[in-house]
Amino acid sequence: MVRYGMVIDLKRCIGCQSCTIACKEEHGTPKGILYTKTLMKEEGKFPNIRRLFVPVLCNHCEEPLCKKVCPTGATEQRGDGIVTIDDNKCVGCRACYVGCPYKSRYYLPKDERLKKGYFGVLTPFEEIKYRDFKEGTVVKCTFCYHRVDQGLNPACVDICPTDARKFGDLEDPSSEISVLLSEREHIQLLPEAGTKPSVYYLL
Amino acid sequence: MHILGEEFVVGYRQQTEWMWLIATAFFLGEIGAGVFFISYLFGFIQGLVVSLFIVLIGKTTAHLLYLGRPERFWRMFTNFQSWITRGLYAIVLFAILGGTYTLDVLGYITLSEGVLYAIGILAAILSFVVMIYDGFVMSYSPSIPLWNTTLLPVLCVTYSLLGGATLTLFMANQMGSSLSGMILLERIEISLLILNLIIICAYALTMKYSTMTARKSIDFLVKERYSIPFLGGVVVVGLIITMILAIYYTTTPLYLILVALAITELIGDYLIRILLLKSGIYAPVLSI
Repeated sequence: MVRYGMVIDLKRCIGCQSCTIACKEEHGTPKGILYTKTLMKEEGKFPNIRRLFVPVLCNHCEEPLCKKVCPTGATEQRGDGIVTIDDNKCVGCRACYVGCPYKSRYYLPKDERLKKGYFGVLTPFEEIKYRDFKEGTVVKCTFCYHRVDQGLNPACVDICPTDARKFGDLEDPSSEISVLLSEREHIQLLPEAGTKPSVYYLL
Repeated sequence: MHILGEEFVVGYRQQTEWMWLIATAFFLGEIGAGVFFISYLFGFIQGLVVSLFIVLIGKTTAHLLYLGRPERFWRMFTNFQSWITRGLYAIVLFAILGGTYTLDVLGYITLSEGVLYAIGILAAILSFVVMIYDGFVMSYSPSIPLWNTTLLPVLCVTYSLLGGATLTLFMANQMGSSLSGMILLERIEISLLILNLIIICAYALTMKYSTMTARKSIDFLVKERYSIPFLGGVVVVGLIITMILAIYYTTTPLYLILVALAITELIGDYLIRILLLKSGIYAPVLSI
């Protein structure tokens, strides 16, 4: 059985936000909604300062809390581990939004953003892309399953200029990400939450 | 480390989605259920009627107003794994059984004594579930450490009972009802005030020594942003002044004191709910 996951090499990430932009372009997310972004962390005191870039996205957890707290069953998990939201079932209670330890979900309020877009009037691109969004529902990273199902990588993986993001099958010991995880020291975000994230970070 | 908004930086982030409407829904649901429970124990019929209205109209309206897609609310009955669904079932059953019990004691329908007794007991148990389930909704997920404790459902119950006792006491006086056991209810009110004060202190101390994020939340409540509404509103006005008024009322049962007592208690009761929501903080995603 396939279980998709992502490995992010923190030594390679340079914080260029290409993944952030590629994701926005791929999904055409409205203003204020970023399925992925790169956070920055500064440590130490001058002159011994270290700056770390941490790309974050939905962790597509093996045991997703968002799925457990969802009262309508709108949050679902595919057989390959990808966690999705059925926007026809979502009632916008935001229990998943509050219950996600990674704050990886976004609520699409009933406001002007789907009507006016970024520039006051919808561009042809926005007109098409915004058809996928329904006001009053919660949205999040889909691991680009529409691409993955065609044998492609998620947009954020393909765009990365430093090859910091790798995508593949966690269950396959010969996959690139499984090999990296067996060779390199790695962590998951907030493992104490007990969600078993499918996104790993190489140290 | 300060609290972040949407900045692209690793750090603590405040819970901002569940605010006034959810606090109002929790407050009305818990207070209403508390009034039903206390009124059932004391046989106060008007209290039963009012409690059903508070839960069914007040809580439900606040929840529906909050939903992004209220027209699909029926879908919330479908995932029994979620505490929201469990709570929804409890509310519906509470409405059916509590309503049936109330209609019988009001004389609109006639049930046999045994059936009425059983329905009354079940409705009281369900009112207890309505009081406690909000606590489980919040404490279930470990994302917000301040909420992720078994003390939270306990706090919900004790505050519900306190609010219920206060409103029942007030209504019984207001409606000129000759409520039997009024002195007992006054003593229960004072006991619940003491109990809530102890639980609030225990909650704050427990969370202060649990995780850094929970400590940050407690600092929010006792030292920083929300210290005035928490210490002033919840502790001083909601518990201590209410307790003084309640003790004074037992010796001098003036209507004005009872009004002041009800107002101060309900202020504290509402504030604790909104402050618990507002001071919910997420841990930084990376601690290395």
